[in-house]
Amino acid sequence: MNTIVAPSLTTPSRKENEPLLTLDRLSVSFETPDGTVRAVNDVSFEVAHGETLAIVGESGSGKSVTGQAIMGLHRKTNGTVTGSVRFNGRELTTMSERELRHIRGNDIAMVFQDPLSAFHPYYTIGNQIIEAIRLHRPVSRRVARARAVEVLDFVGIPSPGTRVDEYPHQFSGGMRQRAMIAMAMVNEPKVLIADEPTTALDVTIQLQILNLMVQVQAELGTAMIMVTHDLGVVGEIADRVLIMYAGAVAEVGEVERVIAQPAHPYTAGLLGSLPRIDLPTQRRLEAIPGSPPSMLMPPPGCKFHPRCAFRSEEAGCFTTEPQLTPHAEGRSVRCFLPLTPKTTARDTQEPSRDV
Amino acid sequence: MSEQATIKTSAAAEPLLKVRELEKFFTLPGKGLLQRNGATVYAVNGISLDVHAGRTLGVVGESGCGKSTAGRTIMRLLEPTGGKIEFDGRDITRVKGESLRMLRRQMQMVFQDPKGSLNSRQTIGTILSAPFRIQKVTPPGGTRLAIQDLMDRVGLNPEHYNRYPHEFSGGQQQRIGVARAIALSPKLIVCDEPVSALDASIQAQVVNLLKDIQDETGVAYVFIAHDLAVVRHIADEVAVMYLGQIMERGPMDVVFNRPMHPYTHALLSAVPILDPAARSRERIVLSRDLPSPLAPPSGCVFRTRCPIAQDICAVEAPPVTEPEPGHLIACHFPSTTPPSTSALPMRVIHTSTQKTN
Repeated sequence: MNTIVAPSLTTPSRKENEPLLTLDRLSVSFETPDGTVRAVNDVSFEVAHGETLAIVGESGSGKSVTGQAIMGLHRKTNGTVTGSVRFNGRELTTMSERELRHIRGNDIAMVFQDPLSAFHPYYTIGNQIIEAIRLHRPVSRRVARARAVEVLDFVGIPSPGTRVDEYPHQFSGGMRQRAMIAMAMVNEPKVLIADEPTTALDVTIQLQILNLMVQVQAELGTAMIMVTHDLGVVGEIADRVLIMYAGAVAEVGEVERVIAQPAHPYTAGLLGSLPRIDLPTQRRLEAIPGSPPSMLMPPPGCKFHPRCAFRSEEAGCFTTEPQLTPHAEGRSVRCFLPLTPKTTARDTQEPSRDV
Repeated sequence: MSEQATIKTSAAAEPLLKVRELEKFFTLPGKGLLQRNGATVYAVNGISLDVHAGRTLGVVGESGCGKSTAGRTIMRLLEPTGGKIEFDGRDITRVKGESLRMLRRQMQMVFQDPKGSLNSRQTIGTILSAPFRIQKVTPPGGTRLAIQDLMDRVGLNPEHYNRYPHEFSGGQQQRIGVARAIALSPKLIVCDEPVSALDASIQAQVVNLLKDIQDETGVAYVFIAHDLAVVRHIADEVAVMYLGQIMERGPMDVVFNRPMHPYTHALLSAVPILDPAARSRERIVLSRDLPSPLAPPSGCVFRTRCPIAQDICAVEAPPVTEPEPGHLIACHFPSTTPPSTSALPMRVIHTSTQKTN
């Protein structure tokens, strides 16, 4: 196959140790008829070149909104974004829409959960990928089309020369997600934000797609932010993991360490409630009692305290909101009483009645 | 539960639910005025299952494999096309009318979508009184007391008797669904993806609740789910479905620890594992998507994606073998050794894209 070299908008090379993407105290809130929903609160993290960071949380934890805010997708909604998002030394939150358009889909690309609604139903897959190329590259339609066929082939679409002219509904779910990844990688982005890319897929197809994403990443050296609710996916592909609860970062650190020794009681609870296929014993699942708080009326103090087995009046869990503070081994935890090997072994309280 | 005990139980008593060669086909509307001679969807194509009293059969498979249709047909919410369903020693394949209504006392169902399966215009009290009303049962102490007891048993505050479904969270709505199913103390509950719509921390609450109810009442479950980790956690026996047929079934420990069907091998190896140390393990990446149930492949339905398929697989439907009591495999070449990944049509990514700097 011929190699089509698309001219890439080269950014000045930077030191390897400087983070590629830095979020600093990012907050997103929405006005609703019922009041202000503070969906994301003071989220800070860094992503290095080529790294995979997983953002994990339950529904409503703000993980997807965080991913969307990086791309500036709340500009046209009623969302209010404060804080900073710096990419390659440039501030994205204050950038003009015109400038941002050069970065979206080019330096930072996104893969969505539901490719059927992410693709436009009236245009062929090929036309949509061609548009993505020509928006950022001064190439002819013919060259762009050849490049589209090439990336479709790369992601494993059979007979890409024909399927390039098909519409999204003619693709199966797994094929659509492959095409979505093809479109995201076509401009060789520095950062790929994947929002639950395998959630709608069956497990054998999920494995194909995760495999593909790892291959794409190895090929392009792309950094990846994987937004997911599935800790299994985190265990499979992430370098670091960021656990979100009620719009804030509960804990962030290397995957191995966070899983082996969770420091936030919520992380520990999440791990305990997970049925495991790789462990021999049939232990009882340690469910976290209660349910996540409403973001219209979050509880005072630590947002997790109503469900926490380790909460303490003296520590201030009921009244003061803890800040994300550095913990051992390059980790950060938002908790007054982070768990140590000793406290984790302590039996958690019996789940109380919810409601 | 030890493996030995599992096998002993399944060999001993007559099963509570006995399904033999069950079929459910759907005919799609065809062309022309009468829309006759449409294509046939072979949703459930000759499955056989046993569920013993007080035990849980997990039914796993990917979307479109027919597991939900199987559950609904067993419940007699759908008319079986063929085969036989025996419940508590009685043939219920064709029961109708009053006797079908009476049967519902013994067999209940919990649905996937907790919100969609509750009437949003009725209070929880009204929703939970329906089983008593429909079955014309007056519990001792009155319906209201029985309902409040039910709410307490599933972990809901009985004072919330007059609330509407939208005032409850997803996990609580599923608890209401469970309460309704256990109201008349049935012998069997078919749970169709009961926890897949719930978040991890809430999912564990409902899984624990279902286990507690089983310990308490001795109800049997048919637990239909795509999440193998959850099924492994709750089920005693498991059936692996693919394209309307059962590929492998048997005691949980046997099927999950020593699978013999290549599809079971692939399915288990595809489950993402939390521990990053497991990343280096061999995985069986199946190529392609599921074939359409409108035109299932000839011979073995799995052959188009099977890494070890031979010529015979396209010609003859595989025989069902039983290498040990209760462990059944529908495959021409069953083996405890996972199919070698090197023999797979796994895609080798070529690097034709060159990066410019």
